[in-house]
Amino acid sequence: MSAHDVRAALRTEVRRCLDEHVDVRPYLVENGGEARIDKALWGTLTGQMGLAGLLVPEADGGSGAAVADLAVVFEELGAALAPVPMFSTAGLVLPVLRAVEKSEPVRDLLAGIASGSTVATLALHEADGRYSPEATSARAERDGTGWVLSGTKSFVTDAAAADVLVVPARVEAGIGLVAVPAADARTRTASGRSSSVRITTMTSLDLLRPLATVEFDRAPAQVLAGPDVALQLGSGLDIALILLAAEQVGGAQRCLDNAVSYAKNRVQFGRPIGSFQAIKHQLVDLLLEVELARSALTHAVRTADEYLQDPSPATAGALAEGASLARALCSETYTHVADEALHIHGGIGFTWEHDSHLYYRRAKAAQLLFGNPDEHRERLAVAAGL
Amino acid sequence: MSVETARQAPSLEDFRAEAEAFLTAAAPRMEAEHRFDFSEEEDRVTLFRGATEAEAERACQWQRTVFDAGFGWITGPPEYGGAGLPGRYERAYQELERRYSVPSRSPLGVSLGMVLPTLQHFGTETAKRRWLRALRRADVVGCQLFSEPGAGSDLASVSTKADRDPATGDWIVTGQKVWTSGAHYSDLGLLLARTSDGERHRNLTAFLVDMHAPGVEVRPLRQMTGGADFNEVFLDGVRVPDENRLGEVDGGWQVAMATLMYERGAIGGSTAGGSGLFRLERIIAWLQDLGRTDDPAVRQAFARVHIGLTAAKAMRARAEAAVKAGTTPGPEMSLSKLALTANLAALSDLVATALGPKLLADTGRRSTFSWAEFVLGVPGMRLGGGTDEIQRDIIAHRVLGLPKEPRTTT
Ligand SMILES: Cc1cc2nc3c(=O)[nH]c(=O)nc-3n(C[C@H](O)[C@H](O)[C@H](O)COP(=O)(O)OP(=O)(O)OC[C@H]3O[C@@H](n4cnc5c(N)ncnc54)[C@H](O)[C@@H]3O)c2cc1C
Repeated sequence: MSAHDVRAALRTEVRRCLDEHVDVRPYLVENGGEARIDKALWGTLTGQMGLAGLLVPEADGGSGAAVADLAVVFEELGAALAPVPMFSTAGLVLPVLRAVEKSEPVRDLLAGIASGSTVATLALHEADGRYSPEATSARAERDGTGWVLSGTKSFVTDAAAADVLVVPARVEAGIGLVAVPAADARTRTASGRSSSVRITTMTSLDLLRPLATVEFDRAPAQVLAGPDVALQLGSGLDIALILLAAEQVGGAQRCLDNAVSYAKNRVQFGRPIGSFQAIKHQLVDLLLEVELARSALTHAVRTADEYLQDPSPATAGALAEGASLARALCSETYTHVADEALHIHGGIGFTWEHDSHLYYRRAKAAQLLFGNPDEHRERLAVAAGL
Repeated sequence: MSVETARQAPSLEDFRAEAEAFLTAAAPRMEAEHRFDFSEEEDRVTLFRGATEAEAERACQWQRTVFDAGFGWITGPPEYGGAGLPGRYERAYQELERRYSVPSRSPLGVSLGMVLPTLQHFGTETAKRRWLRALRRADVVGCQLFSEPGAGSDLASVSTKADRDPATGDWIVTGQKVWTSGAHYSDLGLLLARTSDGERHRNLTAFLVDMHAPGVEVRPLRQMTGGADFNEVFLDGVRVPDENRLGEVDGGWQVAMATLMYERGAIGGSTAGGSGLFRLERIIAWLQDLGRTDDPAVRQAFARVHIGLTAAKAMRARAEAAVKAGTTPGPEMSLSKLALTANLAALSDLVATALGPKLLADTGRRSTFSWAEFVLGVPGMRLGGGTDEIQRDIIAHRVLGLPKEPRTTT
């Protein structure tokens, strides 16, 4: 089978599973409620289908597939808004681990992710919701034979579900990568100040991917990579951006499909609203946007796979360019498509019961976390040599 | 491809080496210091190059040189003068030619990209033998006689009439065409005319008309850029032999649809949404030369152009990959013209942001005011080859499967 066919088969398989099992309603997190994931679905997607291990090398228990394969999975997860911590685990942590030197603890974590037994997330952002190596405030210090981590991270995805929190932090003079097990912290609540890791779910715009603040107070930690891996970390994050862009393309495509089908069926003035040019031309414009976003994603995915095959300053540069290009376009596309698709549904689209707002929320959240389009355009200009 | 030529097909490497040898002998390399200069021979940046006879002549001469060296019709069937090689040879040649400073062949766009494939597909054997090679060698140039004053977007309502002369079997054509690009330097017109009073879409026939025949009058029309690429064409009792008919009698709509498909391919596809026209490295070098790289507004506008061109190019690659994998291409191809017009608009915005007042009046500096012709040409791209609105209608119906509007014409 060609890579093209393998990917088509993977898409069909994932979509079939999600069509059958996803029900988002029980997992909406409102007003500081408890964040939950669909554990049964997570088990199917990871243990049974091995999707979290796609990008894990075969030697570490994964299937050694390409970013191009994993991107297909994220498109489908984004389309279904599946309430599982796949983005945090296989979209954020995994690429970052792939980009750093393979130490023993890194290999263990990779194996845990591949088997589906470990849910991981990346605690990346500062209190202002941004990340840069310079502004990183969390710090790991030696404590006897081991390390402890102190500091606060914000806007963390799937923190409540995570078994391991992976944290870019100051290690000696550089920026290293630190792992903190969250096993006992999760059971604690705001009352226990004595806890070494405290996770507080923030009231969030995206009801299916609530964000959390994580406070580390001399939390026992393990240094995965360091003392300075800021550059590799940057490339890992670029791959994460591309996988997020894949989610955005999948979400945008689903919004468009729903709007097209609604436009064919909803009748006003004695004819389907899809026969009015104002509606059909709008839908074509959205189609063009989605197709271009998908094309930009394809381009970016190729830069990611080329980087992983041969990490070098040249491939890292192309990856940075591809990642920002895809992110700038896919973010604007998804927010625009989600908005217009909602509009085409009329009043129903504005109701709580209709899923339009869930996509609208996800689109906004995905646009503004990990760099907004203006920032990515500027970064693209720099990467292109302007 | 015949068995004989298949055996003779050179390896791609040999082919490249031959092409490179030819180009090196025939044309100067693109000068590094002129990388930012979008205007090779004179200080012009334009989307419509066929304005002057001299430019058309330069294009024809270059096409002849290329043809005689064996690179003029790389994929064409050998029995009509082509080299019978697969598409990758053509792409390899195009790739190489871009590195040289050669005359633009855009005055031949309609002739090579639309008239020729239509003739190849629908022409009689006599017509194909007479014109395919000649068109390809630019000994003969073709134009498209479709639009009329009363029939633009609604092409099916053309009223130019072709009546059969019962004595000779010839057709006698009378009517008026308009917006005919390149008619002033063309020898052959691809005509759509009404041949019966039957049903809409079943009353038209396509022909090739000798533009030098008695009764054909070409009058130039000036366009907003100042040049005169297109024309009015008056046809008064023009005699067309039946062997010049393309397709069936009253089957002209199918022929026209095919031509328009070639046209969309030629406009949107071959330029890959504009990425084939404007290369990023040159845009960057141009902005650097202008000293405008510090302005955040310029940087944002540049990034938008970068994204648009890269995505359009990737969209074309996806379409090609789909064809290769044996699946029918998705909506990518039909969307390419809309991508092109969007990218041209983005580039026009970048140019305006970067140049500011230098776009308003000629300061004498190269590659500044010369962009004005480009900026003035962009609206034309949204009209020619089917307007943006007509493209959207087509995509809505064929790709998204949305219902048509109730029709009031008959
Ligand atoms: C640079 C250039 C080169 C050209 N070269 C050639 C050539 O070589 N040969 C040739 O035959 N023709 C040529 N054309 C003509 C071109 O195909 C027509 O201009 C075009 O099809 C539009 O027709 P029209 O000008 O009559 O405008 P109209 O059809 O009258 O359209 C006017 C406006 O109404 C809109 N409109 C029309 N119908 C609809 C609809 N159903 N729904 C929504 N909006 C609609 C159009 O989009 C447009 O904005 C050229 C045009 C240009 C600009």
